[in-house]
Amino acid sequence: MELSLFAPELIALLGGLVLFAAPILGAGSATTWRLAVLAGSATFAGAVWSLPLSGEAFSPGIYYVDAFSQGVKVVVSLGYLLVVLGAREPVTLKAHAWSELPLFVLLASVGMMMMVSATELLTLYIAMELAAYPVYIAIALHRNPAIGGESSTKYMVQGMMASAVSLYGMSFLYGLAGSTYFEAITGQMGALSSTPLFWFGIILLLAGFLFKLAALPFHFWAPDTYEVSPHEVITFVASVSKVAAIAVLCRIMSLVMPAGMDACSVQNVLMWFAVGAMTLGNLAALRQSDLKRLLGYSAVAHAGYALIGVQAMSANGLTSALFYAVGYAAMSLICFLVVATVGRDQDRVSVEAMSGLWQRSPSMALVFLVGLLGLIGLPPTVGFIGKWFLFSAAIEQGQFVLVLVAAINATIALYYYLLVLRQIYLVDAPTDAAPLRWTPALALSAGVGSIVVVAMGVVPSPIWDQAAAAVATLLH
Amino acid sequence: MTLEMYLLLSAVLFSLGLFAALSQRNLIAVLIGVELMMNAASLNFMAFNRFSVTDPATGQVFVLIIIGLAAAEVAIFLSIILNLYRQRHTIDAESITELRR
Repeated sequence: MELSLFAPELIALLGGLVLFAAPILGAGSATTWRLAVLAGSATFAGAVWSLPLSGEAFSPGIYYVDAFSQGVKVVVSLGYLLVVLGAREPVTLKAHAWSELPLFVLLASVGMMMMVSATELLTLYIAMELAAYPVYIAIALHRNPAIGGESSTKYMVQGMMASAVSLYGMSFLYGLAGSTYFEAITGQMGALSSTPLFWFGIILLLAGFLFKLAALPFHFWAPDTYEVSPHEVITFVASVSKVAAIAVLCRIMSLVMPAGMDACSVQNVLMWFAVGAMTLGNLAALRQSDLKRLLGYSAVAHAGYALIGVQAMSANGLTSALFYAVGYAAMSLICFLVVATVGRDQDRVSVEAMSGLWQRSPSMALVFLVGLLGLIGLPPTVGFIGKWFLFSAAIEQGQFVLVLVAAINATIALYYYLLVLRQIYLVDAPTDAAPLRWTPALALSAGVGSIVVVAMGVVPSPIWDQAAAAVATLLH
Repeated sequence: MTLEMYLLLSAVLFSLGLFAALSQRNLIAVLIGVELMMNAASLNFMAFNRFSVTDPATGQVFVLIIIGLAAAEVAIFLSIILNLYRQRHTIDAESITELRR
């Protein structure tokens, strides 16, 4: 057992202890927030430091530390830091919960960091639940208990069902392989791949992560939960957890890829989920007047795009999915940071609330523009180049029809994103609307996010190479 | 009893749980449905552990941890439901429709 390999998670857990103790010892929400930023920075530094490390932190086969896991941990910890920077005064939360929010979000981040390293079913299950429970609670912290209770209940019922389905799938994998270790499962792939029950188990196992991704058929929570969750919580759910979910999907795919043609059933299922998620997300988003709900359906659609890369079942496919997930997290983050600022003291944020945003704060409108261009998929943002990678990975596999469907979907999506842009730039702000101001922390967070979105679009190669190296370690 | 019997039993349990979770209006009943699904998985683990797996410890440890996590889950879910009940005086999923359009 080597603790240095566990450093980022350990730092985050220590930070969690501090954040747990601080309010009890009488620290106000401002102090707790500073501690949370400190914990986030330390975790991020730890993750960057651990980037070149590789090995196994605990007994063999349970917890891999490699380029893949550490790369995703850097993204998750950076995401946590940016979300917390934007959550200085989470007005949509109960006042007494202001100092509790960073703790729950940090614990969920730890769960996600452990999820991408887990290479054993039990570890994966525990990490998955650790990533989920704190978010259930954080959503329920809404200042209006009725709204918080309702959206949290909806999210949690579906989350519990998805994780129970995953668990049921795990039981078959355990029974057939005789072991909970991924290594053992890959080792017996020759015998397992001819068993239909094995593929049934793998598909069920995917459920928990499709839920986190808000992909079909576990997308029902997305619009409701996005609409009324506290802004800061949903910023986290909409950005960081998608990266972790895609990373685990990549890990599971790399597990079954050696089976080659036998893996077609999983590939087929994922392809239909991708098509369904894209189409349903985009069509449903067309008639939304609530901006957060619209972004919720857009998240369903983007889960569909990312699944294109996962179902391609090639090194390029997994790399493009990982790349797109990182890019999507950044786009989604900056959109929600602006939404949270504009609708600061409202439970819901309608599209109309964005009217004349460029008059109220030109820089905020610019950040939102960058985010929306990314979501639409226009250059020079990562939305364009990421989709390009995804589509070319699918074309390599000869899936022209799938790419055509995705392209048609991207065109449909243009319509509702442009409606939002029209509100921002062409409609005048109401006369009583106050100009919006950045706080330094928020500006830093949105600035970093926007730079990531544009930089990954203009010079994709550094992140792409990193993602390709990560996927290469995954596939050995 | 053979392994197949256990697997069949757990499949029935799982289906019943899924049906309850999807169809019941009372949130407590939904919770019971989800618990049934998790118990079906536990039963699978124990059955495989008994009949087909050489290492006898893994499945049992897995089931113990499932029980622990399920308890944590129930605690969180019940506290959220309780909070909801204080506001609405109902835990009927059909009548909690603030969000529905």
